[in-house]
Amino acid sequence: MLNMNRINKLGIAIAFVFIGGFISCNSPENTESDKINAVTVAQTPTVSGDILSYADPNLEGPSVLIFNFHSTNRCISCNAIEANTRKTLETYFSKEMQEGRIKMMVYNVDDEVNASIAQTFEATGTALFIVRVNDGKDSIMDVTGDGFKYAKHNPEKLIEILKSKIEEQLQ
Amino acid sequence: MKKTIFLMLLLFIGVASFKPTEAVNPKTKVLVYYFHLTERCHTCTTIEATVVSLLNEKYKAQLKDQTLVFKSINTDDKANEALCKEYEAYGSTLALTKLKNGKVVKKEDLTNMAFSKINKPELFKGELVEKINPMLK
Repeated sequence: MLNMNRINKLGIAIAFVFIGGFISCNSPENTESDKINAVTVAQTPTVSGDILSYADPNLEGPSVLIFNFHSTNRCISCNAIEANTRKTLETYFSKEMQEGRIKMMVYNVDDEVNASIAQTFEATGTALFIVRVNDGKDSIMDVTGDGFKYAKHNPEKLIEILKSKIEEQLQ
Repeated sequence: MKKTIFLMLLLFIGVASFKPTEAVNPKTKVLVYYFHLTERCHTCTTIEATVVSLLNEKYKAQLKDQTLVFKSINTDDKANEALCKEYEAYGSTLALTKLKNGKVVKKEDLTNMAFSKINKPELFKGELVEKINPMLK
């Protein structure tokens, strides 16, 4: 008997929630502009697939863009690649990072908003690219292999390789 | 006398460095080694699977008579330490080695090529064939 009472109360509560929801969705307060705002908020801006749009157009001379891609499920090497790339930049290129002459972008290839940039680099999983931008032109260097080879067990070597390649690209 | 001993020592070191770390069949002309960590990502396993598929597809006879040898090597395994050191393989690494009479003639690291082209398996396989074929001669 007690259980039947509880079920009845629960049923009434659910009914109120449904009716409340129906009324609020159809209430005159919910104007057209609210609906547009709701749609706008739901959309996440997509990331540009144009490499040159990442470089600072006000800078004279070459600049370097580092693109690091990964999947949602990341392995130990993938995490080590990102960590050691960041370490390289923080240790040797903090001035260039502050100036905007070097930028690092990290994107999840499984996230649809990054589809365009992932496609530009044909990245479907972990990948690391050093891009030189100069005079409105870009040249891409794929260093993913170096990352996988050294990041976990010889990070110093990876840092040395990245430092040397970035310096080369800044010339 | 001292000079002769020194020169002999140098010669010995020189010869020793050209011998592969692992004992190989004197008939073997090409070693295809794929190094990896214990914890592997999808790309790493795909590279190995693609290499194995290519070798089985194009080099079945050479695999059988050991003219070509493929090995998958775990870099986290202490037993492989010397081999990993020889190839500077600290993680995923694809390496080709040309041998002549059991001695190393040439080594080629294809890791960057593998990771950048694995999304296009036919292109990757094509480049691998271009590297392996001259080494088999």
